[in-house]
Amino acid sequence: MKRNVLIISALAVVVVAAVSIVISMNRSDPQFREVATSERADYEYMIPIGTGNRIDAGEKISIIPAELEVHVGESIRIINNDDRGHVVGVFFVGPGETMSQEFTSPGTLTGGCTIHPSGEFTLQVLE
Amino acid sequence: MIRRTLAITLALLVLAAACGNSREFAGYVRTPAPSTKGITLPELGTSSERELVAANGKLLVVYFGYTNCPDICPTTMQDLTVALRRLDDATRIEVVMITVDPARDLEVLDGYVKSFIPTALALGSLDAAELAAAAEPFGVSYLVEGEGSGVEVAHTTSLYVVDDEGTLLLTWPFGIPSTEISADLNDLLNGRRS
Repeated sequence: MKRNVLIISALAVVVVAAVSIVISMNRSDPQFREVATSERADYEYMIPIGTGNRIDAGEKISIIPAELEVHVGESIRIINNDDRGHVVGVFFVGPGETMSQEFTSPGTLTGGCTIHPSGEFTLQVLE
Repeated sequence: MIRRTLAITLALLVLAAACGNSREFAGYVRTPAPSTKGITLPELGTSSERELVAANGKLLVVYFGYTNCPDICPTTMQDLTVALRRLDDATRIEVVMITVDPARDLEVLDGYVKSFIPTALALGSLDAAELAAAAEPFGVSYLVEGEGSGVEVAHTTSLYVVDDEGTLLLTWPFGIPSTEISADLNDLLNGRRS
């Protein structure tokens, strides 16, 4: 009886652990998670007020690099103090919003960008 | 001895389950979260307006696209279809597709979106200001240029989910797997918000 209980207990733990591993393996890359604004970010960029107007006036705005390499565990923060939203790769940061993300797995994110003259932003997350 | 073994096992299972629930959202959260409260668009095929807020106790998945889209829109709708099939309770999810190409879509969007998700609603307006107001809280941009067979459309390709208070909860960039979308939706339906 005692042995059966131990075997069943061990099996239950193994099954739950296995399910957890399968769930984590099914995650595609790259993954990211929100970081509290009180936490330090490894890469921080601020979009000042008037940026949209400067773009409208034909000025070349370069607040962020066209390509940025970060490592898993590092984080990026974009503070938008402008009165309009800006696209930064796959992220949209609305007026007055702060986007803070930590990257939890490797991969590449590419998308449009309103705060770089190339109009594109590629973020490569390395191991 | 047996009782103690069972107690330890239970504790381990609770711990393992807690670890299993530590997954991050695949979509990203905007801070502060925009609100869609009070924003409405005509529901195509009916004479009613639809507010971009989920019904009580439900979640509203919102997508901006167009029916002539060759790749991203049908892929997204198919991914969403598969994601909904995996949900614990898909009846608590509402779906709307909003056309960014109303000149060509107003007559056909309803049939298009229902071919993927029979309960989904099609929204659209020829009033450019009304469409822009609906797109604004999501940060959606779009551009329709040209005429006839030369029409070219560019648009934001993300998928969004809004709660019953009009809070934009998550944004999923294009390409997030359906398994992740359904996992996020299940977490949100279970009350998780961060």
